[in-house]
Amino acid sequence: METAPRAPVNDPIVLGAPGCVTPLGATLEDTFAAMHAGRCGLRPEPFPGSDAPVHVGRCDETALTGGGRRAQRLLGAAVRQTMSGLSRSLRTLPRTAWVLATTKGDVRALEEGRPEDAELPLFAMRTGVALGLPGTPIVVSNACVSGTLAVHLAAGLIRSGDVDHVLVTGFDEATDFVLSGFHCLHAIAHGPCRPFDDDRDGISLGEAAASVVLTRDPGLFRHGPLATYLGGGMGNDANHISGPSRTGEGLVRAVQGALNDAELPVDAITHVNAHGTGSVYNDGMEHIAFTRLGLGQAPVNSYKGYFGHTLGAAGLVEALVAVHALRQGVMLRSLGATRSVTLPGIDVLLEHRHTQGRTLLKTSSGFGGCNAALVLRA
Amino acid sequence: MTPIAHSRLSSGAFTLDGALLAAPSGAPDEALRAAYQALAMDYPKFHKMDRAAKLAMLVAEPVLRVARDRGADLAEGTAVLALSRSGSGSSDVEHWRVRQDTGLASPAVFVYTLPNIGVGELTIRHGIHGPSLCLMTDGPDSAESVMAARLLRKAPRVRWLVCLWSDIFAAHFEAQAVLFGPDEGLTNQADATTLFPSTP
Repeated sequence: METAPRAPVNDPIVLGAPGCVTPLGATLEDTFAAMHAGRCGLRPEPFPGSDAPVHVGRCDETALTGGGRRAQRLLGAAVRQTMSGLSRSLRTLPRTAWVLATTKGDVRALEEGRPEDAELPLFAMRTGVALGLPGTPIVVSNACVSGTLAVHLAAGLIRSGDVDHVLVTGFDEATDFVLSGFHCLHAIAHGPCRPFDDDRDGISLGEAAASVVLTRDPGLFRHGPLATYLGGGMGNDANHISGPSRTGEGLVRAVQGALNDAELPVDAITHVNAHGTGSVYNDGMEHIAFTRLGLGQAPVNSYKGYFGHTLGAAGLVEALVAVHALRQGVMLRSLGATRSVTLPGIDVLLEHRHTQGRTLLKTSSGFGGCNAALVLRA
Repeated sequence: MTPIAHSRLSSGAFTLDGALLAAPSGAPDEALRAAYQALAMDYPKFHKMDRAAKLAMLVAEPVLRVARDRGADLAEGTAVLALSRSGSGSSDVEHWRVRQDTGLASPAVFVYTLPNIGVGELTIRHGIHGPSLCLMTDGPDSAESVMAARLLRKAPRVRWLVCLWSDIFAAHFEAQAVLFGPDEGLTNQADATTLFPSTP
């Protein structure tokens, strides 16, 4: 990566050339179409150690492209979509960084008895070679806020003048390693997860990969920008490593940071795509935080009822779907939520809703007490 | 880079700005316990943590004490950058061993199978609400790490920045922490690649 200093400019930072592989589709457009049609990508499957099946969102194997490890083929499928959406080659684009968001990377290597191959820096280096990308990525592994944080970090690198363009990628697989962990925490829903529903009872895990480029040069995108980056923020609960804050403190700070960064008042937000895992305590924490922030006017949804919690990919793939949806003039229903009276003061989307609004707040929260937020304009 | 304080912890030496705090030796568990005792910490939660979280907690403690002594507002004005190669590798292996041996999994192990959990423990102990970022890197120093550190340092309300390199896998462990203050330490040189001084 070249790092020669260059004066920051004031053109807006835009996101474009999205790539996306989810349990509902091999592209962003296919994924959105399936969600708009109300399809759920979570399927029951037997789980060793459990009497009951668990619902998991798995990507269609035919959507994975290229060679190498499955993790590389999943990520590669998204990155190749991004490459094809650019007017210039990523491989030769100067002053370009690559950020990779993941929680567990190729943890299947550990499951197969090769823990050294699961080390994220080594996996990242090998993946760069496998995908023909220049250099090695900056690997963000910040639990479930990784994808959201990766976008914020990328924008910061451009603002500071360190680089001109950033490829932001995120992925995680639904492995036995992760499933068994959440299962032992009694965190898995009995059916497909139901974020923000009164009767929600846990999470569903999924897998996905997503990819996008941030730049101040909209000419880089064959089909124009998808969204404009307005601001980002982070905050820590400093409360518990695996339980959400009872006050939503870290999330409140992250959102306030993002709004300040975007220089927008809270009532400028027209839609919130929340973390919304479907666990009683996470969604309750978000309800408290959104209420404290005065976000009651902005319709809220979660996409995890469509394709599950995709961990390190979640923030990125969900942000891309949300801005794509806003560009179609719609806010998608929070699939799985049919009744939300126990979360008063926020406007949970129980049905799809048309909108002219374009200003999205994307939030994520994760183990360790970390929280991140983005403000994007579709 | 000229940090205000610099701690190092590895087998045989635990130092702050070159001064020996302890000479922890033996297996990692024994060495980490010796380092904990040398700091006279009274934090019962420490004993429930995995090795990676203990290592991050221990190496950060001396520089955060310096920050407190200098009047730092840890709750509001401090950011944390954590760097590691192995991350949660030791707990990953242990989680998978339990899964294979018993067909089940242990909640107490699984919650430590994320590289950022040590930072989470640190923020809880010191009440740090500011931003934090966990990057997986091949070593303590890189241009990307310096860029990330500068971004965190520029975040709103942040006046103090703690950067950690902590790595533990099997019997090997090493860690460093540096503290940068409101007006000092973090270079603006675009080609800087070093956060941690080569000599204490």
